[in-house]
Amino acid sequence: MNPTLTIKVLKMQAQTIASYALGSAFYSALVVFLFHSFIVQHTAFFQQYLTILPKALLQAFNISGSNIFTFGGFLGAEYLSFIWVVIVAAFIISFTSGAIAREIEQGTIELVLAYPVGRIRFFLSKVAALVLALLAIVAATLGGIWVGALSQHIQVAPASFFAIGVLATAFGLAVAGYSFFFSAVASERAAAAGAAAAVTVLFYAVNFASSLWSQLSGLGRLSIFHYYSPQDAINLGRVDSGSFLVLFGLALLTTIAGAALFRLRDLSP
Amino acid sequence: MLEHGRLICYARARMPPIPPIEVVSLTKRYGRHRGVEDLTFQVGVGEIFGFLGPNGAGKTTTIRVLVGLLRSNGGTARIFGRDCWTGTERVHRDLAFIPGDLRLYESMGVVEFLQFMARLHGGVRPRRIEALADRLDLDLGRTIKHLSKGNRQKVGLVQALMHEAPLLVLDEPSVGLDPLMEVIFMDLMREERAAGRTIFLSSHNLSEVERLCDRVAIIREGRLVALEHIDALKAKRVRQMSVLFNQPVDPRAFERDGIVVLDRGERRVRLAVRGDINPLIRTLAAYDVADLTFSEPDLEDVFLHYYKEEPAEKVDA
Repeated sequence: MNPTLTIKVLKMQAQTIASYALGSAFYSALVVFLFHSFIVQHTAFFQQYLTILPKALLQAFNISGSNIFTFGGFLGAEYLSFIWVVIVAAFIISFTSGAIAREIEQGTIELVLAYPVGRIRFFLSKVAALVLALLAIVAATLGGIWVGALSQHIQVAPASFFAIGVLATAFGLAVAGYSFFFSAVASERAAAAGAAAAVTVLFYAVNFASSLWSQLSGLGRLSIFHYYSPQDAINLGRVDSGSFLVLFGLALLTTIAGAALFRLRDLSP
Repeated sequence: MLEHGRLICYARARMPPIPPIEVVSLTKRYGRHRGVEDLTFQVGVGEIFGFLGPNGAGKTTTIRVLVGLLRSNGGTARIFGRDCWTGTERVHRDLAFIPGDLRLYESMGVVEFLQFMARLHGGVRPRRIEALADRLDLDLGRTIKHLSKGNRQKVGLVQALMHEAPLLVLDEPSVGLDPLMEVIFMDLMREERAAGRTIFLSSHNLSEVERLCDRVAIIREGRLVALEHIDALKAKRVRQMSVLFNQPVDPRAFERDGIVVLDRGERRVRLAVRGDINPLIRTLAAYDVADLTFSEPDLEDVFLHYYKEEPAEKVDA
């Protein structure tokens, strides 16, 4: 890893990272506020409201049974299971495709890689910048939840914060892993971003289909969304170690594969 | 032990210096498309080596292999004895580079960019950036996206020269510079050579190559077609001479030993001479010559000669 490169990436992306982090903090605080208004104060109305929604829609937002009436269930359904995923995946895909594929496309990589940096260190410097940016967004999200809970006098155990922090980071790293892989093998930003977005949507579709149709239930394990259950992380105050290992393992494998291919490929715009 | 150390020092002193660039049978293809084919040449220490060729000849491909951006399909490319692909990181410590299509980080300031590049190389001498910027009249306070093509090229030059690397690989380094800056650029190149640095210069600016380079390689359709000292290369070409005699002469008297009469008058003859000029001088010595003008062939004549001839023939280094 080269700290000069990592710092440069973070400086150039500082505004974007800050926007995503503040946005996520604000939205998570808002959802906590809504939990108090909808669930705590108008439980009966909300129960009735849920009965008129199609089952598939509820499934899409990971809403099942009475889970939605818990703090973790509500926060997961209304934000962490879907909207947070869309926001964070968009950020990660944009960041990773810009980190390598755009440098190849624009030709800036020709000059930087003529310096004594080394391709692997160049790659890992970008990964390190993404990890720090992801941690900032996850921390901001947790900060928003904490502020929201504090203002609404909702008790959230520290273990729940820790669990959702670990799970969200592992999920983000998994998306980052294959996104970096595509960025390392593509020569155009659009191609890298398109491939990463397509895989993310495919993962979501597979998980959605497997939870909707029992015949496809086995396919769910092929999706990263199967291993990402923020409701359980908050409610139980722990992360399933198997899920964590799958997400983290995928991140590690795809990052290593991306680095290896980047080391071997020809680089020209 | 001391004797052993002395033996090593003695052996090293007796060894020829490691060439800054050594390319042997280098081949690079892009799928079915040709890049370069069987290139062999060497660049010596302290030399300014010109690398010429028309667009698409394979100059940039060769440079990208040297810099470690492309992997060759065959042969070897070494910089200071290290393989350009497997020893890239070590090679880059001894190298400064300007790409042919120089792209910079648009949102960065000039000084911010140069300091960033300096840190990537482990730092530069204090005031080195400012001194080079002064020489090239480059405003360090600007943002890169607001710079003209010429000023971007100056940024590229400063980033290459600030490291004082023993080898400079420059792909079209003077593109976009105004004539005044070109003079300064050439002064800087001469200073680098005087400091013992080696320069590998790819350029379309033939007068610049002619004035700067010690040796020149010409590449065409991916193959090396000429590799010589500039003077030797030019000497091989046809030179034109105009001779005014004090009395009428028979032009046929000159048509021998590679001399061709291009134009004739009663007392004036225009001749074309290829190669050795001594036979012509000996012939002229027998006549009463009033005036003689001899136009030296420029590199453009040489360049065009190699591009027009078919097919490209391989030249051994």
